[in-house]
Amino acid sequence: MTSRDHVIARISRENPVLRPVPQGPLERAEAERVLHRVLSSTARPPRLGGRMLGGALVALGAACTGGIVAVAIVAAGHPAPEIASRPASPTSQPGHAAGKLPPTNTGRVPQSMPAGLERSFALFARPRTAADALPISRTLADTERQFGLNPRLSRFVTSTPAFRGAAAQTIWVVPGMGYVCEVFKQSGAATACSRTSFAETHGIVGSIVGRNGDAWFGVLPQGARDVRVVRADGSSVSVPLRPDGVFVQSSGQATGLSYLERNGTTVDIPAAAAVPRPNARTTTTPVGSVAVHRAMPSRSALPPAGARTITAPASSITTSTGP
Amino acid sequence: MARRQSLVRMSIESDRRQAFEKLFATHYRAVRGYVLRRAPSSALEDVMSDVFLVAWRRLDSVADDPLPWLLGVARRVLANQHRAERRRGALTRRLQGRYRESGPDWEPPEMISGELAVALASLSVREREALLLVAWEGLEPGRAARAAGCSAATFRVRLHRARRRVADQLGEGTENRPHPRVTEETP
Repeated sequence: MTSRDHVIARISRENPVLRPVPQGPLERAEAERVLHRVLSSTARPPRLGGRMLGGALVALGAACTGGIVAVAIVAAGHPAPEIASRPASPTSQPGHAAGKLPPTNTGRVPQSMPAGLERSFALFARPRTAADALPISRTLADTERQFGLNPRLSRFVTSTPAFRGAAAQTIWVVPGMGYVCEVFKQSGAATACSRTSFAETHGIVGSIVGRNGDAWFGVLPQGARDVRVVRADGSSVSVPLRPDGVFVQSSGQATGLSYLERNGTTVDIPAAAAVPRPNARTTTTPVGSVAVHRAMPSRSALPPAGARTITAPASSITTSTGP
Repeated sequence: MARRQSLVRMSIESDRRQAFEKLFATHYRAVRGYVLRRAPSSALEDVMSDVFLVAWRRLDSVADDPLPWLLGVARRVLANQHRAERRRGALTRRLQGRYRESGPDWEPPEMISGELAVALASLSVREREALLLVAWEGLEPGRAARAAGCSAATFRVRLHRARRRVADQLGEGTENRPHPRVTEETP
């Protein structure tokens, strides 16, 4: 071997990306998202080049399960915690539809608060204040178009402190045309959307996964009560619920969250680790990302007549961030 | 007649989509690796989307050997992003009243050793790309030349210079280095 061959061999040995065989579920999910973006882009005006917003790189991903559609728009630039070592559910499982976004909305937005949201959530029923304004509305351009979001109807939900390897987040909810989206902001922004009709019944619940634990947060419909984070040993911790239905709880390694609906039905939402079920979907990205897990009961998990408990699969999105 | 034309159009679209999906499935991982070796993972999906969007739009002009063509597209997409970032950085510095600071034109991946990172950083962009196309992407020089967007002869010169400079930087023993015979690189 000549010294020049040796150079090639040396560089090859330090190849930072070796191909794992076979392709893992995370990579498959990522490929699905990319393919979806490309094929859906061809139906829209050209959108070449990463959207650069204030020095940030914006990525678009999509996930869908049951009545939930989630879109993530992320602006990079925060010290990213590692993704929690939770098993990711293969998105190619039977019953896992490819991420489907609603048809691109053609500029229509709700001009006033949708009556269902106003009726179901105290948060949407109260007058809007200065704190409800989204400081990052420009980053939502894609999501606004897709879901017909009206930032002028946004409501501030809560802020989660930095904890266990996850960055602090500020969370808003924004109504759209048939959808309601949560908007997360750290140094960038992410959104997760669900159908309004679904959210009205089951609320908007999610968890943020840090390196060593997670935080649960949500906005529950009026009348919901007895919110509990369930731990691995079976014990549960009661979570304070604000009068407007908002809760936030840094939970450690929780296995799930439960609450009682107005009609007494118990809703159990397993943590992302329990996701691999036929109609659940998780999309994740490689290390160097923060996972914003969105957990919602699915339509198919609605109880049959007479049933008292819903055990609902979770769905989630993961939003990648980077330096 | 209109219905027949519509059916023909649908058939063409279907064939086109099938061809694209085959291209995507076959080469996604190779292009992904190329991008991840040169850009942060946060940029991956954007870059990949842009690369394959170009492929979709120019499907008819994709070469018989698509991988070098796709890597060439990825190279240009990354270069565009890099230029945009540099312009933004320059603007920020101007606004801050600082004119001379400038970031490096290459950010080595974290996983490579410092010694090698320094050696690679000392190369020109084109020389480095030539070396990495061969060493990391595993392309033969002929295909790598197509990915680099230059002639095979030009590529060999770049590769030769890059290897010699890195060998010097790494102290790989210039006294034992044979005369530069580019023929050994011919596929």
